[in-house]
Amino acid sequence: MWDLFIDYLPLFIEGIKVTLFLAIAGTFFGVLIGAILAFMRTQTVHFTDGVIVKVIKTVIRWIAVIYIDIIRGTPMIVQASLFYYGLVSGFMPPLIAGLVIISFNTAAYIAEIIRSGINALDSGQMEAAKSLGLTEGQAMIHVILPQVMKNSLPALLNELIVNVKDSAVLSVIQVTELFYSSKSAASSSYQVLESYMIAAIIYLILTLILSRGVSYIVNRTTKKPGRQVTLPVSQTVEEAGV
Amino acid sequence: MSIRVKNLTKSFGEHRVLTGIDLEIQKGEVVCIIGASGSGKSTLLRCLNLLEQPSSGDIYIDDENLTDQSIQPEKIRKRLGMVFQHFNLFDNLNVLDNCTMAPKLIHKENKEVAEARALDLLKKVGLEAFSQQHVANLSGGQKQRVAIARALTMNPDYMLFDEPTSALDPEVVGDVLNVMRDLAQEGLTMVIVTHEMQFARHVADRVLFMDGGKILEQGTPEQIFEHPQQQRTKEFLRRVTTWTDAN
Ligand SMILES: Nc1ncnc2c1ncn2[C@@H]1O[C@H](COP(=O)(O)OP(=O)(O)O)[C@@H](O)[C@H]1O
Ligand SMILES: [Mg+2]
Repeated sequence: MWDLFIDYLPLFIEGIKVTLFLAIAGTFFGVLIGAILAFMRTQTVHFTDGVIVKVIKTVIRWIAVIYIDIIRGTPMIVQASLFYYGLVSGFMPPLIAGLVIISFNTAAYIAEIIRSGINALDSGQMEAAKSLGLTEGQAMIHVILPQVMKNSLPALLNELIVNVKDSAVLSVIQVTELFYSSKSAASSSYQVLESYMIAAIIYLILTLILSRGVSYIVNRTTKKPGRQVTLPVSQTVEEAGV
Repeated sequence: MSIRVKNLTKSFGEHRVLTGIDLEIQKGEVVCIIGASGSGKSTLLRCLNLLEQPSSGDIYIDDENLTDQSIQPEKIRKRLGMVFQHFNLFDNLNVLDNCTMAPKLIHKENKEVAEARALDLLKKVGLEAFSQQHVANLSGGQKQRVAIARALTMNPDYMLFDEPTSALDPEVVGDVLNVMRDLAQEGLTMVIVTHEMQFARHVADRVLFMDGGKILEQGTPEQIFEHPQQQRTKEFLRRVTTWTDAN
């Protein structure tokens, strides 16, 4: 197996690079898009809003609800095939298409993480911001989201680990990530079991390193006075990681 | 310059919380609101800066009617400072940034101006030395004094206090009340919901007793505390000022 690994080293290295790129860049864009979706999803109509504002807010919220439901209710492998083969294969390279898919997919999950963070935050924070004269948008950007992001850090980093593994499905649209590399190694060497074993071991090593890294970051952030990070109650990072 | 409330009612669903409040507060007045828990004190205060929607009636802040459809709530709220029972300091910011964020965002003050003014106000509440501290490192009494300074940075015309000392340890209540007394003596217009009867007696120009969503009785501290007219007021005052193990 080691010989196989050495023989196909450049292929596996390429796979690791693409997988890490997709996971890291995808999670990064996912957080940006997810924050916007969460903001859309949590629009609430107030008595002080005019009719037009009320309509706009309602429409915005429903767009986010529908988007999140569709993305979370369909497999990423189907989304990727639909998007790539159905729409963009003529002009978009697979790697870019893969990045788009993983970013917009993880965004839907991240939006729910952020939304529950917004709901969990003490409503007094929003009220205090409003009572000083901030608009809801200003309060969101300057008061609510910074706290929610910090509190959600463990769950967001966990999404990164999930993406290391889930990016494997992007091999279906010819993205040369790690699983694609091992498939290529398997078909050209005929050492099927070994090739996929190598892939499994590399995935395991990557996710183990990342989850240890996450624990380290989370613990360090927690220890600083006044910078507490709350772990999601349902899971610790370590359990959720691998 | 005044706050005028006319026949204000507020219901949460079927539950009537305020039943026809009439109230006028002049510039410079210090009004304390007392009454049992659940009598609608917080709801009244929160209607004044539109954190709650009045169900009917009118509220005029100076000459603007808050129940007007065209009213922009942010514009009203920045003129009414609010201090909450649980402080609600921004947990993502240090003490100084808590006090400069709103002036920078809303009054477009530059950093130097905003910080100089915030430090002045922190000095006034005795916490200048804590400006770089994270809010999580402060005691309750310190947090509440920062919250008062934060509200004052917006130069509000009126200050609303909702039980500002109810969440504090007894030994620090005095620090907060002293700050509030000083503000009262400077002529700030204040509406204070409180259970601190001694404070109300000495600092208020007028005391309102609320019961079941109404202002049942109002008058000078002397009238309310020494010569209450209503049976409910007498009962309330007896309950909060004396303790017996009769029950
Ligand atoms: N957001 C709300 N939804 C439903 N009921 C509420 C809400 N806020 C207050 N109430 C009810 O209104 C009544 C008055 O509450 P409140 O104004 O907080 O009284 P106080 O401040 O005098 O204790 C209480 O019965 C309370 O349960
Ligand atoms: Mg109350």
